[in-house]
Amino acid sequence: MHEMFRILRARIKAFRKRSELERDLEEEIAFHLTEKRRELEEAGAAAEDADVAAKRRFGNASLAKERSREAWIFGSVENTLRDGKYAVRVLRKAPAFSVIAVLTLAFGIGANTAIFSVMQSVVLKALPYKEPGQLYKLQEVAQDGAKRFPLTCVNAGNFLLWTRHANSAVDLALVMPSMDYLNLKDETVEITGVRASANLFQILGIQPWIGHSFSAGDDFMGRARSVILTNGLWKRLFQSDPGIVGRTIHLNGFPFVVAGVLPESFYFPKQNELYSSTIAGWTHPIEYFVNLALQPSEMRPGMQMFNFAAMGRLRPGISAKQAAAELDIAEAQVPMERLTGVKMQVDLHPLMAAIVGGAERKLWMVMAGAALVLLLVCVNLAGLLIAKGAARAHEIGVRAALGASRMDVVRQFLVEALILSTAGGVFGLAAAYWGVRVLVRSAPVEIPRLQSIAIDERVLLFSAAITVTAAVVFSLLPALWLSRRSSIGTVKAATGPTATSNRAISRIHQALAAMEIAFCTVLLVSAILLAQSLVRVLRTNAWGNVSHVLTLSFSAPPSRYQDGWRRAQLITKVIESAHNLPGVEAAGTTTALPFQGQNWGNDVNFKEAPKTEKDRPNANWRFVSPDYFQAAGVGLVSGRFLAASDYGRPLILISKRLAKELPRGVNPVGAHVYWTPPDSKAPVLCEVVGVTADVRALPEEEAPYTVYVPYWEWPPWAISLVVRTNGDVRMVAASLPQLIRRMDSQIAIPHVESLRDILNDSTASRRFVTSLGLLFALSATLLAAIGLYGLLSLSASQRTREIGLRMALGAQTRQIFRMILSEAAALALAGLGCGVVCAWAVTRLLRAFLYEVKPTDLATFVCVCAGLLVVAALASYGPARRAARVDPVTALKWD
Amino acid sequence: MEAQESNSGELLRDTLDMLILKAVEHNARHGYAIASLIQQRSDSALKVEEGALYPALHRLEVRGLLDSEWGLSESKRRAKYYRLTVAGRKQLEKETGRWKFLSAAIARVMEIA
Repeated sequence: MHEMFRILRARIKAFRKRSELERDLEEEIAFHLTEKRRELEEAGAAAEDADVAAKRRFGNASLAKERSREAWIFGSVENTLRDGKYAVRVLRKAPAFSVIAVLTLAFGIGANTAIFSVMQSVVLKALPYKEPGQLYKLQEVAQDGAKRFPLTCVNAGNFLLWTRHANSAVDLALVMPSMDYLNLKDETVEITGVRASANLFQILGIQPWIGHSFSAGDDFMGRARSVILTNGLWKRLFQSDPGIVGRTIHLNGFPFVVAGVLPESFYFPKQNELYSSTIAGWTHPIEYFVNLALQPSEMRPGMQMFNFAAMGRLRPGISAKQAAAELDIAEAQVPMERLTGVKMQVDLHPLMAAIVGGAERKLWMVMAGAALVLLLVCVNLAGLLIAKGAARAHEIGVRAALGASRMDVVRQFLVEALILSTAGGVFGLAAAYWGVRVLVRSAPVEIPRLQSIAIDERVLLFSAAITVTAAVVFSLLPALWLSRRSSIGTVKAATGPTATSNRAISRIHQALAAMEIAFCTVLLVSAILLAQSLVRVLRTNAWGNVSHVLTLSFSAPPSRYQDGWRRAQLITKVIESAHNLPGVEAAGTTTALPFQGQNWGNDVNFKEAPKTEKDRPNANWRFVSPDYFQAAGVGLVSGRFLAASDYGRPLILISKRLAKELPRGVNPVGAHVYWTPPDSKAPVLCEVVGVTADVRALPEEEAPYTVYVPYWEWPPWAISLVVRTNGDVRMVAASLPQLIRRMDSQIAIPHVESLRDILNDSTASRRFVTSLGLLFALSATLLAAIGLYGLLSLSASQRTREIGLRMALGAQTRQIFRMILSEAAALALAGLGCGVVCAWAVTRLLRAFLYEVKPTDLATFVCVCAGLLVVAALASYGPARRAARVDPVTALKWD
Repeated sequence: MEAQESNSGELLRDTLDMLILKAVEHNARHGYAIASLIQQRSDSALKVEEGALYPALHRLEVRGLLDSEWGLSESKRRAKYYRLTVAGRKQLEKETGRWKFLSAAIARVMEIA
């Protein structure tokens, strides 16, 4: 340590007094030579001979000076600068190589940087809360009753039991999503927010930026309603009005006092992240918080109304396990009524994992793909460098003869590589900056925290690190290999490459090319398996010509539609006027569209086969109009659909899967189901008139049990209009919003989506992973083709003489052609062999992402192998043709 | 093959450093005198390659083991004299100790053989 400091000081001093040092060194060596000469003369040599002898004895004076200088000054820095200048000259002389190197590196580094920046903001960065590791999401889980209670949200009454009993272990906050109409002066907008308990912000460790949080009493009904706005909403709809706190705004027609505005950096998970993703996908950002104001009916503990999400902060020194034990004691007090055998438990999940969830594995997978591509870029460049190096053997030989050590040659290669990869890195970073924007725009909404993505210093550090690593990886093998040759015999090397050394080089080169094909196989097989899965998912779900079906969802403004019959009237009117639009074949409404997740889960009890509450199937209940089935294209299995003439009669349809729950021998058509409307206690007995085909709630999940209740039985708040067109989608899409506005100008109109759009959105994350996978696989194929082409061109040109000789001895053009092609084929087969074995192992890891495709799908493997053989053939065609066209006379004269 | 060469070079360099430190143990000397001294004391068995001597001297100076000063030689010419520093003396003691230990060990092995 001490010595290092001394050296540094000496070097800095020397750096300042360089010319002085140079003079001293000159004089010192001159003195030495004079003394030597004097000694030799004293021994009786002639003056002239003594001079020559002295110099000869001294050896290479300039090398000695050089080495002495290096001891003093920052020799490495100076040499690196010199190497740099030299390297730029070398790279300029080979523009094709340099351009390929920079572009492929830019692609590799750019892709890795872009995906890392997504990883960084989604997975690696902690949640922006105080001590985020202490935050947990809480869920109620039914042991031994999962069929009846598959959902994992929280009942507010049960939650209140927890707060009473487990308060010493964990601080608890409750939230409940709500979509509301914000009534502004001249328009109504639909915004998404959350009902939140007063301590939510305290638990997160967030203070409102202006104003204050809710007070504890606001959690219960009867208190003034207040609202806290996010910074974004405040800017967007209130023009950053600083006097907003204390003012009254209207939500759903009710007055709310603005309590505060949150800081700009505030982050809150979306509804689909707060709940598990299997519940109807609310993917809008949360823009405001209203006080919880629990209603008495919500505060009743029990086994219903699991509608809330809960989060908690562990008290210091309490583990999640201890907290769960405390909570389980509280949970045991939940009245189970007739549900014997079901045991309720409270599960704690770290909040971060709950939010990021499945996105993490997908991102790691994409990251691995990108890393593999960068590795392939490096292998490719290593191959090209070796090829170039073979031509540079002469130069390296000369440099070695002039006293360059092996280290010098290696350093020269490293500097060249660093220049290339830095250029690639700069372009890559620019591409990543642009790529991240594309990623954010095209990335699936299910990936949480995307908004916070940025190229920050950690991302820059990462890309700098991979830039340097890539340079070392792709230059070290060629550098060590080629510099080894420089010691074999400088003179030999200087007179030109020999046959044996060529063979050794090309063996390494061949290994690299085969490795590229192997990597390529792994990427292609993975990407094609993913693509097949995507195709299968889409094919399973694209029933009934989904692109012709338009949808539009809105909810009846609560202030004016409290009466059920008014909602029924609204629905009837909407359907009627939609039906009268030109180009519309059928129009109907439902409460939840396909592919948007499960919604409204409740048990089903058949009169013909009554079951204890625990064993009843939990079905999704939909409130539909008679024409919904024709409009959405839901098929009929048996019985009949509803008709307008059934208005007012308690008739329902059930899905095929639910019908199978009936015992054998009981005809589902004509069976009866008990149904209790939300605002009454008396169950209504509904008759099943038909059985429908199964429709999935999410594209990759088994269809849920479904009950279709006509809207007149209970007019819903949430209305999704579904319209089947005769194909002229655009006209209808344009007129639908106007139609709703004419009904009621207070309804905020969301945009119209086709069922195809919804299906696409719900498969977005699969699409995202698959398209990146395909992109990586195709670029890998291109790289492997470049690598193979480079190798074959080199080997053909090195064998020009041999080829000439063969031709002179009577070989046919076709035989030469075949010779080069068979070299390519041997390489490709070796690479494919390795690749297939690796892919066999790697695709197992993909199993969770595959849909109805086996990881070892034979057809995929065969297609990839065949495809790569074709690519190899194409890459080798050019070099083979050139070799076959060699003129024996010129070839033999060549040396 | 190259690796062997460079290894033996490294060995030489360490040995040369030690010999140089020893040569200036008591008196400040210039480069030529150091080379001559090593050659004389070893009865010409060790020839210091002058091309390696000066880089070694400068290296030792940078490491703070030697100190240098311009002075007049016996032939009344300007010459650069090298002297041991305190750190250099410590280093020399360490090297001497190690060398004695090593050479004794090698000697024992060779006798048995």
